[in-house]
Amino acid sequence: MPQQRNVRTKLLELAMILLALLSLYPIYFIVSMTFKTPQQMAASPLTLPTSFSLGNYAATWEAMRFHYVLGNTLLITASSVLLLVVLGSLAAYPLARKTEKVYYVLFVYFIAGIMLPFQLAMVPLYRLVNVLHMVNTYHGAILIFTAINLPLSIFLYAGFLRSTPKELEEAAKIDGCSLFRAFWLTVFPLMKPVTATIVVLCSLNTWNDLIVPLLFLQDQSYRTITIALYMFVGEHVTNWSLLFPGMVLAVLPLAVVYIFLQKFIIKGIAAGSVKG
Amino acid sequence: MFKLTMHRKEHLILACFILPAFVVYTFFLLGPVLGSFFYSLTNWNGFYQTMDFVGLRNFERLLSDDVFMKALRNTMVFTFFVVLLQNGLAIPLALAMDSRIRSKQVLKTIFFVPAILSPLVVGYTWMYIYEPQAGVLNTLLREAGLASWARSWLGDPAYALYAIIVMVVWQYVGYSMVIYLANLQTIPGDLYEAGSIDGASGWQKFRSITFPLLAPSMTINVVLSSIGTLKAFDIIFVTTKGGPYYATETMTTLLYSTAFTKSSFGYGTAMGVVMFLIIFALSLVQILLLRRREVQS
Repeated sequence: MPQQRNVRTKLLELAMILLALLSLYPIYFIVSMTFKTPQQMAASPLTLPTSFSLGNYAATWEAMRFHYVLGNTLLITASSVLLLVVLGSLAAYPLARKTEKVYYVLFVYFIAGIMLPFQLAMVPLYRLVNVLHMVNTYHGAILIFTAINLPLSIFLYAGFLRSTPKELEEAAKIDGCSLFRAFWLTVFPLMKPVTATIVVLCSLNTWNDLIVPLLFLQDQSYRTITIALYMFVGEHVTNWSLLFPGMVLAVLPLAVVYIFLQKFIIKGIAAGSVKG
Repeated sequence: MFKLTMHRKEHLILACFILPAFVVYTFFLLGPVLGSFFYSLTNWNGFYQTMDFVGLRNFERLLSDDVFMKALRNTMVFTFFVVLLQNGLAIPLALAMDSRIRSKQVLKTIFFVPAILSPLVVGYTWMYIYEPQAGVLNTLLREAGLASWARSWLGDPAYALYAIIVMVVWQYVGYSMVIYLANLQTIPGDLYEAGSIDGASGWQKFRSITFPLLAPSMTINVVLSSIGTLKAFDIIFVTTKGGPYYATETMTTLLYSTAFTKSSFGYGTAMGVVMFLIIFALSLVQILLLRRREVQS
């Protein structure tokens, strides 16, 4: 019996390894193309690259002004996620804890945003942002991204709070803490797992978004990675030797973060979604 | 009296907790959306200062608009298959990752990788895989002696939508898997032991223990993947732009091209309003149905 089980586990493992390789293949394909010369690219796509020159990367880095767009993306993502955690957790706290009707109505008001297609907001939003002189500004993009991600964050924070007991913060209040201090010292630290989820999800949403930078960050000096890649592809449709490294560069920063924090990221995604 | 003012004060403080989020959300998302709800009752083109109030005429026009109906059907087919395949593959994957195979930590990490990519990169990558002449897929088919199967995957109206479905499932199956896996790990082991003592087979244990207890993560996964797919835009925008012959036109891409490329902003927003109502109704039905399953199990 254990012998048979071992064989079955081994077979399952083999099948899973094959599946994982298949799943990785598209990424491997793009990376392998970056090392090929134009002649090799014209040959079968299944051939392996023969040299590992980084020349294509250097040329693409220059052409995309990659250090610039990387800095922009980092700044916008980090600021927006920080704002989101502060605003989202503060707002979710009364929405989850209070039973009066007003709070419930407000909760629904926020949650409705999850279901709204962003395209519906686009034109009026553009006019508003234009009037406020926030087109092609960092703070304009940061505020828009925060607004887009707030519904999901409030939903996750409120869901988490409802499943945690009130005793701790009540004790803090009895001890004479102000409401804000009670929140900050007892509730916020409790919410670490769901904060991790929100940071991961919303960083990915913001970092990878195309449409917000397409509308609001057209100016060269404010471009993010996605929009730089999008524009770049438009300009170099025929020059594959620059295109493939462009794609890899666009993915690389996230990939590096993922490799180092993968356990934390995977745990984070799960923690907020499934309450233990 | 004292108690009342205490309550007042608390509500006031709590209002300050909500206010910043309320202002940002209202100004930069919900307000503009409400503006669009208003424009859906006009014939505004998005640029001029003038517009006429046309009542529900935009909505009447939608009913007899073949392209809109096609987009609606595509959106439903797209969402149905993505949700079905994504969840149908994620559950067995999660079960495998919960088994005793040794490399599961690494495998889990690999399956999740596509979820961190932007739809833009995913779209471009698969365009090279699906490319008709030198693409990976057709080259493989030709070398396997199946040259007649090779085709322009994204250029053939019969296959384009399904080709995009494969891309989306590939990207997010690992994401759903991670959520199912977290749920699996909360199922106590003694339940399975009890099942074994009763002589239950592996399949019986899955059917009567695992599957019902996966209900909470299934609610989340189904609702998340439905909303995500209904709202999907980037992946189609960068690959087919809704073509060929509207084969991959969904409500979001049609909304975008109607409102922005064709400058019928009023009419485009009417589509958006219908779309919001559909997403809202569908999520509500799903949550109610799936929650009932959660309670029963």
